[in-house]
Amino acid sequence: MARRRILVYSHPPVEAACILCHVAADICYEEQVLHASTSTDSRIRIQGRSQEPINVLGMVTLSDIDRLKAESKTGRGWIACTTDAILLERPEYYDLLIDLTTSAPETASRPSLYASKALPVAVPTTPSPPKFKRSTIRFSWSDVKLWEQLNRILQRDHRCTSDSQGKSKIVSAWTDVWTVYEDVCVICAGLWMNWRGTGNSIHKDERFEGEDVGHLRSLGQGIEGRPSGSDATMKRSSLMSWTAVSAEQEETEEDRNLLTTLALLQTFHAHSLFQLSTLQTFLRGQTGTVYLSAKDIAAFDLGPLSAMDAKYLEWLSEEYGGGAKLVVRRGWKDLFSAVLGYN
Amino acid sequence: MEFNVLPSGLHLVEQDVMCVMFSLVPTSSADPWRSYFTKDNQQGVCIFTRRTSAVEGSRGADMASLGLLLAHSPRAKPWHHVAALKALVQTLSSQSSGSSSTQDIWKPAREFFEARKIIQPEPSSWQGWSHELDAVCPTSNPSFACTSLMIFTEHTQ
Repeated sequence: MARRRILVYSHPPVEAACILCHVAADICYEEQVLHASTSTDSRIRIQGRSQEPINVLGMVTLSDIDRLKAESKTGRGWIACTTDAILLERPEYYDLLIDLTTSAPETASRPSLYASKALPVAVPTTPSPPKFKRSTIRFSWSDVKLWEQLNRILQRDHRCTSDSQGKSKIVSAWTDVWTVYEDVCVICAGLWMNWRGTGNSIHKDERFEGEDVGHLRSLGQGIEGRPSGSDATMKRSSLMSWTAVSAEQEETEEDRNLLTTLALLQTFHAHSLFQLSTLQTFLRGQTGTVYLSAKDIAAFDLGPLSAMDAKYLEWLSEEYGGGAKLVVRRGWKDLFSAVLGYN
Repeated sequence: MEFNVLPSGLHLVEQDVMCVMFSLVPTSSADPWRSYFTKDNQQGVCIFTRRTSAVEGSRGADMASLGLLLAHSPRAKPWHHVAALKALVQTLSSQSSGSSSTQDIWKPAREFFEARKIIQPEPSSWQGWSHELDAVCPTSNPSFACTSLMIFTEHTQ
């Protein structure tokens, strides 16, 4: 969504990596095509700079370096995959690197994520191109909350599959690995979320009744809210319709996969709309530099202590700021204020 | 294009599917057909196959990629052709193994192209994921992998 340069590294066969490129672009596709010209949601009035969705380049090799440079200048962002390990050592050509070689389904290990980071120039006496280094990205608390919503959809799909087929399955999802992460962080994350609840609330939470009772945001305002769209064509894509599907109704595995996929894509889309809506609230048509405190980051459902989340917001403002530049204050005073809850 | 459809390390696998995007650069600015592609990128897909070969000089393996380029459109769908392309690769492979020197082994490929070539690509507008996944291209859409990318399912004994 922030129009970055994303490179996926994989060993052959590369089909999975190619599919990942398309799926990653799909996650933000609807938001990008709907906001390229005019927003169908009256609450989202900010528009992106780019008129086209992120470019899926597919397979690239060392011979494509010039093309990567050219694509980078468009500001549209791109996502590509490669098998050339040499590209990993050239962080100036990408913003985010996803290393699939560290992911093994048998051990439920996740891919490694890296970001390129510009090295500070010590003595800027002679003009030289900036140098970059590759730094590891770790998941932040904000990822837990989003994943919780996705996990509910995946678990529901699993229940339907097990019930209809009548045979036992073992689901080894990333959520299982996340359990380890959550065990470490869930207390801190819970404290943070509770603290958020007492602070300023940008969006209004609502509680829906049903089998999966939980907090759902207002329509189009965040996770699990129904994004705007044509009612005629989106009739099957409504998450509320999805949740209303009767358990007795016979569904094929293809139908279940379709509904689950639609629900996941909508969750991502609703999350995007929520963050854009929040960004709009902070910018309020300003064109200069807008400073955010670490606590303000929490309003986006992002981690106030995460440097990557702060960077993501700055990237987002580059695309949707309309001339405004967002800067997140990350001094010691700001961090302590965020931890202790001072204003 | 050759490097994109035959990337490094592919000799280690028997078969693979690659989605690629090509930017065709004109060899001459006077060539109008090619200059059309200088502005537009084209999506493509190719099927890679590796077969053992006893032919001298082939170093024990015969590796090939067969692919197609799609006409430019707002949302090209190269995955739509993967199944047919795999079948074509299978046909060409079986023909080439028992063909005589006079037989036209590329005839199925030409027929494949003639059956799919588009004179004028139709403009398409985004009608939502429901239309995309349910009506336009119900099978082989990589978007369906959104679920399986997050979840690994293993059958018990």
